[in-house]
Amino acid sequence: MLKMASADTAIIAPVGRLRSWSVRHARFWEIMYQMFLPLLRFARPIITLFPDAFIRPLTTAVERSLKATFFDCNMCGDCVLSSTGMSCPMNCPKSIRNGPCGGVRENGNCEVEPDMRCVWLDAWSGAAKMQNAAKNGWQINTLQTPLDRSLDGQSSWLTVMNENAHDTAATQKVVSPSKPSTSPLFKKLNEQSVTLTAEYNPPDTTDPSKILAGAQSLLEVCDAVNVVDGAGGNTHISSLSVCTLLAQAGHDPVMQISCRDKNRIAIQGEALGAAALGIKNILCLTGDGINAGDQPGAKPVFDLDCSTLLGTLKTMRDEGQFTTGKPIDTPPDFYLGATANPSAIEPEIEVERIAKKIEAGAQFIQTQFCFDPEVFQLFFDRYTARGLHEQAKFLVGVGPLSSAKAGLWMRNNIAGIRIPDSLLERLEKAHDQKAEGISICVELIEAYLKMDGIAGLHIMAFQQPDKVTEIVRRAGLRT
Amino acid sequence: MTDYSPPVQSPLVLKLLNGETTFTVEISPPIAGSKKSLLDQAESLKPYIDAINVTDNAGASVAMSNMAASALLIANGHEVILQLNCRDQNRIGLMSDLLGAAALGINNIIAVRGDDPEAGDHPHAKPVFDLKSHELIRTAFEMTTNGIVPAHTMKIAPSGIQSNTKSIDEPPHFFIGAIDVPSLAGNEVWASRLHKKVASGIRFIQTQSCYDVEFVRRYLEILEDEGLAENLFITVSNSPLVSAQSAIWVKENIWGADIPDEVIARIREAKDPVEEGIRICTEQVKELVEMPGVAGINLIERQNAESISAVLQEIGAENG
Repeated sequence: MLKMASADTAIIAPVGRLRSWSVRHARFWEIMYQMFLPLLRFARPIITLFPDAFIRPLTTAVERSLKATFFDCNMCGDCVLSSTGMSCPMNCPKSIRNGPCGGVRENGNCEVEPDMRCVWLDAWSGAAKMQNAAKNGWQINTLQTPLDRSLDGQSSWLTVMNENAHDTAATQKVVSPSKPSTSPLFKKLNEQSVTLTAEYNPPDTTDPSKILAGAQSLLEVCDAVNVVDGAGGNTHISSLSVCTLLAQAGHDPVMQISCRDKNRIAIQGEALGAAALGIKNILCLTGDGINAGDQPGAKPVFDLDCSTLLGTLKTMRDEGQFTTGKPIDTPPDFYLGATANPSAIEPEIEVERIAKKIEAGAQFIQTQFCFDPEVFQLFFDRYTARGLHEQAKFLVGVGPLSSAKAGLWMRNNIAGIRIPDSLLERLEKAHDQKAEGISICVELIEAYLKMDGIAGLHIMAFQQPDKVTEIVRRAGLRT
Repeated sequence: MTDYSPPVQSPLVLKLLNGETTFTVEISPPIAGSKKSLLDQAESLKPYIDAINVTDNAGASVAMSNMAASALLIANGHEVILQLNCRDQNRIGLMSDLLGAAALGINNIIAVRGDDPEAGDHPHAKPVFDLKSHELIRTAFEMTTNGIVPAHTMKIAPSGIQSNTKSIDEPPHFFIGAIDVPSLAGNEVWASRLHKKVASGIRFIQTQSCYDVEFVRRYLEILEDEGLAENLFITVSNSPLVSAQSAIWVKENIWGADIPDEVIARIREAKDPVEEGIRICTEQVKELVEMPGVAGINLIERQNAESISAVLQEIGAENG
């Protein structure tokens, strides 16, 4: 039986009309909530007079119908609407609790559902309308903890009524200074003027020698390789196993963990395994949408998001325990990384989002491709003004375009990537488009390395290791 | 169904094909970021057993990834049986683990459903259950026999409509198994499930712990009646009990574990319950080994590693 996984997931009715009204009137809902909350607590002694079997279904039904109407609520049971500009994060196809992701389209729509506006862009604009922004700082800047899935379908109002509110838990963070990492990558980032990492997409083979050979030429010019975890939603060999082979061969890989395919049980198990195998560097990603890849029927997991994953791993390392409080024998020693998208359409939000990731535990940042130094500058000025370059090492993402056609495809198909028309025209006119693509990449590198606060480069050249070598040599970074 | 014989790359399979009884121990990797305790434990078992069976976050509680644990065990000369659950990963994650397992030299796989997160130490986690266990079996089987990463969808590519299925360079050689509960055998639901798993590609069954030898005998007869016995290797699980209390815990908390009251009474009344546990296990294993249709014995480690070593010594198990 073959099902067609067509690119255009047809949406019949406009999604969330009332939902966007609610976001536009976030201030109104904020007032409603401010009145409603004390009312809920006040109602508690009265409500306890009635049997739970009566009150619970009643409250849940009322809450469900009201919130479903105005917010497209899914009854996650762990409501954060007042911290997310009255835009329910559970409507995000990746159910990100700290967003947006790096895949927002140029028109502000969702990577997964092209006809829907990004839930998290809505959240930030809703938050700007709310008054707590002026009074107590933006609540949307609060790092949200991992969602408790066991509350699914339960009433948040009852939780508030019983005063087990979650908002206190989120703010009670122990900020313990991180110990210096024993990761070789950490050492290089602190000692070298320019550190180079490269993306490694291993071949679909089970032959370990071919897997090692594929990384070899990258390792000759770069300090470390990132092993991707099901990049683009496609099925490939597990990052952990490739990193195991690399670590056993004496290298220092960066293991990517995406939240798309595994829940927190599997992810934490993998993290412990990585530690036991001597894998130190972990890059935390939310992950691409399922529909982009070769298994569109798979269930999207997204139990954690990039920020909650960082927090979870940081807790394992710094506190020697899981987030549940269960102790770990020989806590892992991770060097944690996160991603950024300098070409994001809202650079202010992007900077705040990375600030959240750094707060959650990111110690280095590797970015998506950025093909426009001017766009980058706009982003990076804000970034450095916020002092973030001093809190985490920043590696800019670069890579060669092999032709104008490939560039156009990339711009149209990989959400979050922006390529200026002038660049595509330059490629189009070139006699040798491949060589021109490399020249452009080398020029970009030179432009980026002139800026203060850049610790290195992250080079992405899908299955073209020779090009990585050429770029590095032509930029005069390694011999 | 494509004809499929087990991969003889695995020494465990060679031994099974030769009709020799195999001995395995099932362990749960440590809750640790270091390899020492895992390897120490494995080292003490090495002289007696053919393979170590590594659980996948058993009981929905987080432990070191069994892929990582298996890689460490293989690097130290052990053969492993990797369990994979459907609770924690979707099909992309599971297939990438299968590819990774093959690259790390893991040939033996057991597909399990996995307990619900509420059973474990991370009840807040999201249960995935994207694939059912027979679908996971089918996937591993198709990777082995057809050398592909199976997909049941098409995509629109510049060159036209293409299948999402792709071929694997150097396909894996998986020997695939499932877990079964002898006391459930006989009813129609059980039979249809097991037939489905066999049709999906399993070549061995590992039973849940069963402390009643007669149950096992009856189970083997039912398998015979269902026409399943000749296609499958059956390994039976047992484990030395250490106290009446822990026996009751196992009976009440481990899905499918069968411990008759007489066995619990014997442990309770014994002067030295640990010794008695070793004695019971040894008696039962000796009887099981003689039973036609039992291909191997799997001893499940539950904080009773010393007792397990004692049993293995007692029955004269030997690796190789």
